[in-house]
Amino acid sequence: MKQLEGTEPIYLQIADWLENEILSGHVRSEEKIYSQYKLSEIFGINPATALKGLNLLVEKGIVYKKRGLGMFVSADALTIVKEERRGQVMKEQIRNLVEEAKRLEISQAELIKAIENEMKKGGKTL
Amino acid sequence: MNSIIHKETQMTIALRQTRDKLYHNANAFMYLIILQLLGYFLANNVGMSGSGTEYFSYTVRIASSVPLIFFTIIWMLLQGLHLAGEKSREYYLVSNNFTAYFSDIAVLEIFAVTGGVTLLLSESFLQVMVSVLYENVTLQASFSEVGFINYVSLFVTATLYLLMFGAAAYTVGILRARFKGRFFLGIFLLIALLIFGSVLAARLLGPAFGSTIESAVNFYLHETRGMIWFLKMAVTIGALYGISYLGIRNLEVNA
Amino acid sequence: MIQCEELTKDFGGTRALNGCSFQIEAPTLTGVIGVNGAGKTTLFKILAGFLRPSSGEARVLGEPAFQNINVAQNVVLNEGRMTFHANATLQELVHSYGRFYLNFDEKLARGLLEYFQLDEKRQYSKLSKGMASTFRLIITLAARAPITLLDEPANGMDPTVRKDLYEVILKDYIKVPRIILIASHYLGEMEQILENMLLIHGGKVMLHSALEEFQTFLVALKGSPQAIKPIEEKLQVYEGKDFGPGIRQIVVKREAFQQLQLKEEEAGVLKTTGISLEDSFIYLTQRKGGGIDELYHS
Repeated sequence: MKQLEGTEPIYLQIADWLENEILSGHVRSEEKIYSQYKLSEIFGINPATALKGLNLLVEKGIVYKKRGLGMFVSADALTIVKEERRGQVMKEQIRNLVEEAKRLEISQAELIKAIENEMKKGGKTL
Repeated sequence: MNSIIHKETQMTIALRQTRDKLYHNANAFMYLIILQLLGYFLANNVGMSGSGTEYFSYTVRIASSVPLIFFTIIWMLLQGLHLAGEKSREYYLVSNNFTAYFSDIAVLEIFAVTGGVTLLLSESFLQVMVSVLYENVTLQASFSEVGFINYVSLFVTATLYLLMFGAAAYTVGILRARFKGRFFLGIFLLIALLIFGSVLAARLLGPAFGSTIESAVNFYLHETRGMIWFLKMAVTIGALYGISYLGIRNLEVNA
Repeated sequence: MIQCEELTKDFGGTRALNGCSFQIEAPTLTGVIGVNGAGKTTLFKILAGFLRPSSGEARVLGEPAFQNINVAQNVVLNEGRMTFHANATLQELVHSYGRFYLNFDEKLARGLLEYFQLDEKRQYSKLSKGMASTFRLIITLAARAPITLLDEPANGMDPTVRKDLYEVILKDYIKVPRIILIASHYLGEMEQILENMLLIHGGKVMLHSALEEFQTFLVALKGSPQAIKPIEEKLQVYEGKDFGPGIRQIVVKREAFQQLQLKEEEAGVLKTTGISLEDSFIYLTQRKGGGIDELYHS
């Protein structure tokens, strides 16, 4: 059974994890996504909670229901997830970074240079 | 979920409980045998008397089945108390007051019948035993005149007495479970009342009306008219069942 | 299937339940939580038909529960203080339960006994506290009663066994969906298998909701004392802590905070974080008045 964190509602953590699975390509568009029972087995959670996580994805348009067959990843799932994450990253993580930088008295130029260096490294897209 | 809901009748469950109780109380029968063996042992040593002169002496040994009867009654009392004592535990399995009561009474009756049968057989067994162990055995006249009807009435008598004792112990146990602390207070008051009442009766109505435990016993024991005795027993046992039922009817389970 | 309305129970001078009301209709794995003495065990006993309500109603499967044979045969109660036939072996008890609970799965019971290394031939009275708890859980789960009440089932077990047990409960619930109520103090461990939460406090139902709602009922706000103080004055605060001179944290009801409808700049300087289930529970059920700090400072 996988481990879950303490403070965020479980169904949100499940939704997050599923989005990561889509991002990483473990599940592709038009493929069947984990059922609530499969998720229950993997994480040791109540299937109703797992279903809430799946339904959240349905609401976002990342996953859709095929009658009698289960839940499938939608065609533009990857796009939607990337878009959402991008918005999240831009807003929260950058804000935190800038806040921390200000506290440590790192100048804007230094910060931008450091980001450029980091982006040159690796070369892999996330 | 509806497919796993069941609706069996109280009777079905009561009968099932009776079987279950007999199964779990099987060693009661073993205790009966042990107690009766003790009874046989003591039967032999009830009494001796001897006499003699210079030239001649003899001893007379009296074998009596009284110890046997005594122990069997003790056994019934213990079973009655034991069954009543299970009240806080048995509800965790499927049970309500009715099924518990029904199965308790059924088990008590089975025990009483068992006791009655063994006592009946013990009379004959005792005769055989003493005949084997000793020479010059003289049987009481009543022993040799026993016919089938007598056997049946002996059996019924023994069984009903045992049932009465069992029911009495059970009733006491149930009342204790129901009233807990107040039970002991009640007993105390009852005894005080009885003593006071009998003293008062003796003073007001003359010595003949004073009741003692002896006269209470004689009420049953010395009743020679068969049907009246049977009626007395039936009423007594019925009254005991009634009291215990009232006691158990709304009993709450709280360990 | 379970309906309690203004359920009240008195024991002599003590009031164990005081107007408890809630309803459960569908199959669910619900956690029943509350401080010791809140009334959980009493509630379970009333639902099992053992105790009679002093006032109010307790209906199970549509009928009053007390001494009801229809309730008794469809409800199984697992309680720490329950006892079995004297000197009975585990095997005998498995057979007994199998005879009375018609859904009992003997194969499952024996399999679980073997897995948890409990010897069938042993007497129940000779088991250690932890093993006895394990056995009780196995036998009451295998009974597959439509309404299964587990009162502190993990008491006395070591952590690895507890983990296994939660897994068993969840798997069995998925296999045979039914109403399972679990009263437990091990909140953190148990929360992931639950669907709903029932919080009993002072003999009443304080909160009955899905797990997520319970988790997000309270929220922690962190910020500078200047930002926090005005909020503190307006809302009920469950806890206030100072992390040094520059940061203060308070715990308030999420809904109340949202209703304040703070403007972007005001809300922006605050950091909101969720609260763990255990902490939520502690805040909601804490006693008013002096704390441990005071004891140690005077």
